[in-house]
Amino acid sequence: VQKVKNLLLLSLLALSFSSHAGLDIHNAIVPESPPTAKVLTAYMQLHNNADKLQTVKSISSPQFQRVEIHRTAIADGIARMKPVEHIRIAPGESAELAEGGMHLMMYRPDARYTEGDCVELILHFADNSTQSLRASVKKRTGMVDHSQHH
Amino acid sequence: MSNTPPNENHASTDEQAGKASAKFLIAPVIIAVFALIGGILLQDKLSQPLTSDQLKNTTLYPADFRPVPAFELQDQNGQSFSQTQLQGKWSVIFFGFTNCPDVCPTTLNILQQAYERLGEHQKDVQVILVSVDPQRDSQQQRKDYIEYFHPDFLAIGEEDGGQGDKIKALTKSMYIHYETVANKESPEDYLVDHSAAILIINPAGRRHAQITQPILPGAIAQDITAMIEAY
Repeated sequence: VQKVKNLLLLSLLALSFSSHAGLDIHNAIVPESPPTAKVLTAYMQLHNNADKLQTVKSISSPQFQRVEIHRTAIADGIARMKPVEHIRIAPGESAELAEGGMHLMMYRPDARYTEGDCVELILHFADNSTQSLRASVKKRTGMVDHSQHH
Repeated sequence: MSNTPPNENHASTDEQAGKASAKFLIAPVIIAVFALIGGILLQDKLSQPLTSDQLKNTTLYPADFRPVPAFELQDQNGQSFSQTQLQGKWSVIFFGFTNCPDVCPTTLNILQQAYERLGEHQKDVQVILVSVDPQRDSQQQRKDYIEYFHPDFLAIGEEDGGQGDKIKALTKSMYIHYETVANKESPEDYLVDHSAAILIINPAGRRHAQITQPILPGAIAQDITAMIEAY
């Protein structure tokens, strides 16, 4: 029995090491948008639990024609959008995509997405590995309280 | 207090009674004096105009700031919208475009929540999005976009096929900046950097105030209510 237990433990360890280091992703949401919106966004928190630097070089979605990473910067009262080349996250560090900060620009959805729907996103890393995740569509009204705490 | 006894006669019981009644008299007099001072201060405060210090997230412009000059745009229903439509109501004006997925919907969502908190003053207020993207924001696009946030909200812009000169003239007169930024990946997906300002126009059609960051629904509703009630 002990042997079986050990084997199980080993295989579990092996499993956790063999999967791509990846990122821990929390609160991935796509705010619901007006019916004719041609560009949607997504917000989430990314945490690097691995022991090496991870670089997201692009993001795609089968439900959108194209996805870009942008950052909103309000300076001198002007809201400017700057494309983000990649998201580099050091071991133990986090990155946040949030209202008025770094966010996704997801062009031309293949359908109207409303609260309760899901959007699949694929993170493409610099080492050519990928990680997919599902973001849930939520009304903005439910998000506001969250953003005010920041 | 005129019958205060001379110091040398303090042994007399009559005079002690006199002192006691004087003490009883002093308290109402003090209260009356304070009430008077309070009344004067209150009167002073009421006759003073509202100041930015009394508002949470709003900066007032000097009184008699110049009126919004003549302009002619179109609302989302195809109706003409000019400076005349700014008369008689408080206008909350924000500049943006419908392909903007972060700042614009976030702001409109906050304005929707602020609008819902205005109560009896809701009828005195109109919330207006001015599209700074005449090329892509057709009348139908503006209609579908703005009515998602609130059926009372307005989205004004140039009539379909407009070249942007009318928007340019209006924004320039309001010191609002916007500029188109090319998208290297896909030219049709150009971006529009724009002023994030929220302007308040009073019922005389004059620029009255500007809402400042961070924009929060409760603070905006309180400030708008205070401005309406002090006007």
